Amino acid sequence: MNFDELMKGAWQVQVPPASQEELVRKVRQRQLRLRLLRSLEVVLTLLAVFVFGQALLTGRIGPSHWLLMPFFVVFLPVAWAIVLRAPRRHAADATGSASAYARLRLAQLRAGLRDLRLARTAVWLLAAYAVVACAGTWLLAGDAWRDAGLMLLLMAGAFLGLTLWLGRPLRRRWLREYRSVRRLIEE
Amino acid sequence: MHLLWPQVQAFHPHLWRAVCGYELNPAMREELLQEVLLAVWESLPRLRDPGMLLPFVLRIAHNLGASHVRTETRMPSPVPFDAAQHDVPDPATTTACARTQWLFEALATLPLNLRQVLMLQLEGFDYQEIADMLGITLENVGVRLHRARGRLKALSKEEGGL
Repeated sequence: MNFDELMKGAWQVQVPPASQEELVRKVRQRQLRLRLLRSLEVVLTLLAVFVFGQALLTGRIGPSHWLLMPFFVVFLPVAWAIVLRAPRRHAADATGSASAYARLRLAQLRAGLRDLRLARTAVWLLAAYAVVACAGTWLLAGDAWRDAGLMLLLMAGAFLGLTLWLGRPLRRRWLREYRSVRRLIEE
Repeated sequence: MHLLWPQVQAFHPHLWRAVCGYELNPAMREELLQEVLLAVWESLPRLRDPGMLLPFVLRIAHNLGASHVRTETRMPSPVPFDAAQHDVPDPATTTACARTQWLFEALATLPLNLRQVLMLQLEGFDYQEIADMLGITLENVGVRLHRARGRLKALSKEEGGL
């Protein structure tokens, strides 16, 4: 038997280990998980819009609204920009030829890395704003404003931690993928 | 469910082999296969000619495989084999499995552009089909195949793989 036949024989022997039904079930679960995640993002945004929209419409804007509003006005659009422009693979993208897909994926990854930088900058700016606002309320304002300032600081800290925690591994992963796909075009 | 989905299921072995060419870790292979199947599921309505289903699903598998980032997972430390406690498999099966394992490990050493053409040829596609799937010229397919085969042959001689 020559080398090519041996290679072909060895190639054909490889078969999937899981049963097909099990595999299809896992794919459906994965699809459902992705939909749930997207629904959660929409619900959180609607909740924030509802809370601030109601406060604006009824004219009952308290200290916490004033302090938290800049936070949401900046953070939500940035977060949504990242969610919507994330270099998520759309199924249709992968149906093109390998070279076309590689170029498209590179563009998506470049946009994703840029957005991650933007998210990091935004979250640090918001944290700085929260520290200044909290210090200001403790020095100059009454109890209601102090509580709101503290709440803002806590939320800013949580968002900062979350963004850094999620952003670092994501950046590393995208950078590695970027280098690997770029090699495919260069070679 | 799309009408062609049952046919896609018949192509699972082809998709699995493509996935194995990009990922050596068994758990990650399954993860990547799920990702490929999900993309196939979502893009099936875009397929115009049902006769081109196999190239269509394999193109998706190779595209996702090429941009798949290998994860560094710690391999479990090998446990010494005790023939007294385990059934000893048929030597012919062992040889076939060893060849397959060698082939996929050797494929992983090839650069992506050489690996893709070789995997598609092993799957039974001709030069023209490979050129269409990868978006390269016929001559380029020939050159890459020649190089890929040469490298594997050299590796096989060195290690006694096939």
